[in-house]
Amino acid sequence: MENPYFRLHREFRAAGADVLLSSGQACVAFGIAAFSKDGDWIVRENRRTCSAVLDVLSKHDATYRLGVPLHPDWLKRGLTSHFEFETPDGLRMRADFCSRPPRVADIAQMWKRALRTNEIDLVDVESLMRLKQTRRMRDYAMVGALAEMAGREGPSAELALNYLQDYERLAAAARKWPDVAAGCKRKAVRLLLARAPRPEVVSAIAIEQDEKIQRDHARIKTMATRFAPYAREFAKWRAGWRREKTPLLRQHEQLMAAVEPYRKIAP
Amino acid sequence: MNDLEIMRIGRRLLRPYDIPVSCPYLSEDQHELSALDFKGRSEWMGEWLRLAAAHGARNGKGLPRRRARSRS
Repeated sequence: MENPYFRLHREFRAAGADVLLSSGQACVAFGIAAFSKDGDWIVRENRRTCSAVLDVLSKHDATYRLGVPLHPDWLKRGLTSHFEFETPDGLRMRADFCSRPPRVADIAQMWKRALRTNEIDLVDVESLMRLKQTRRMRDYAMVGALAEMAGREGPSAELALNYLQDYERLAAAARKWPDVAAGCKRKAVRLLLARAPRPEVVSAIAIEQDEKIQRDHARIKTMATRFAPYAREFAKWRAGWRREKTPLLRQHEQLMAAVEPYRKIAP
Repeated sequence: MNDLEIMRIGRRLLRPYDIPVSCPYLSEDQHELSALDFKGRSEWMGEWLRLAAAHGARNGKGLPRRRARSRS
C-alpha cells in the first residue's frame, strides 16, 4: 500500500497546487523517520494554490480542524490551516498547511532549494532541519540524523557543525573542517576549538536544545493564549459542520466570514 | 552551502543508503527504511498507517509497535 500522504501530494500537484511536503513525511521520504501520522505541507502563498488544495480536500469530504482558513491573507501571518478526513479504507488523514514555516527565515530561498522529482516535491534538507527544531525533544534526533547523513553524502561542513546533536560527531566534524569550524558561531563548536572538557560541550548542546524547545513552546503558548476566544468559537462551528455534514467549501466560506473579527489579534 | 549542494544532498537521501551502526540518532526501523528506495519507503509508511488504523480500531488510541525484522 502506497503512503496515502504521498498519493495526496500528487493529487494536490495534479490540481495545480504548488506545495512542498514537509516535516515528518519529508523525514520518511529521506529515510530518516520510520513513521509519521500526519501530513504537513508548505504552500505557495497565492489563491490558486489554496483553491486547488481546497478542491482536492473537498473531494475527500475533509473537515476543517482548529486553524485559520486556507487563504493567503491568513497564511501570510504565519498561521496554519488544518484538515482531516477518512479514506474509504478507514485511514484517518490529517493534513496541515502553512506558507511561512517557523524558523525558516528566507522563504524565497526555501522555494528555490525545493527538491522536485517525478514522485514528490520536498522541502530542502536544511530548511527541514530548521523547522524540526520544535518543542519536542524527539525532533532533535531527526535534526542530528539529517546532519549526519547529509555530511556523509557531500561537503556539508556547515550543516554538520550547525546541526549535529551529539558530542562525538560534532567533535569529529570540528576536526575534519577546522577552517569552517573557526568561523562557526555555535557555542558547542567554539568550546571544542578551545579544547574545553567534554562535559562543557555536552552541556552547551543540551542547553541549546532546551533554549530552542523553550522558544517554540513560548511561541505556541502565545498563539494559544491570543487565539483562545477563536478556539472556543471554532469548536462551535466545527460541531455544526459535523452535525450538518457541511461541505468543505461551504465550511471555508463560513470560516472566512467568521474569522474576520479576529484579524486584529492575528500577528 | 549553496542551493545546488543542498539539492544534491536531498536527492541523494531519496536513494537507498546505509546508516552506520554507530549512528546514535536512529533505531533499527530507520536503518531498514533508509535502505529502501522511494517506492519502498512509501509502502513502508502505508503499511504502518494501515497497522495503526487497525490497532486504533481495536484498542482505541495508541499506536502499534512495529515488529523488528532482523537485518541480513
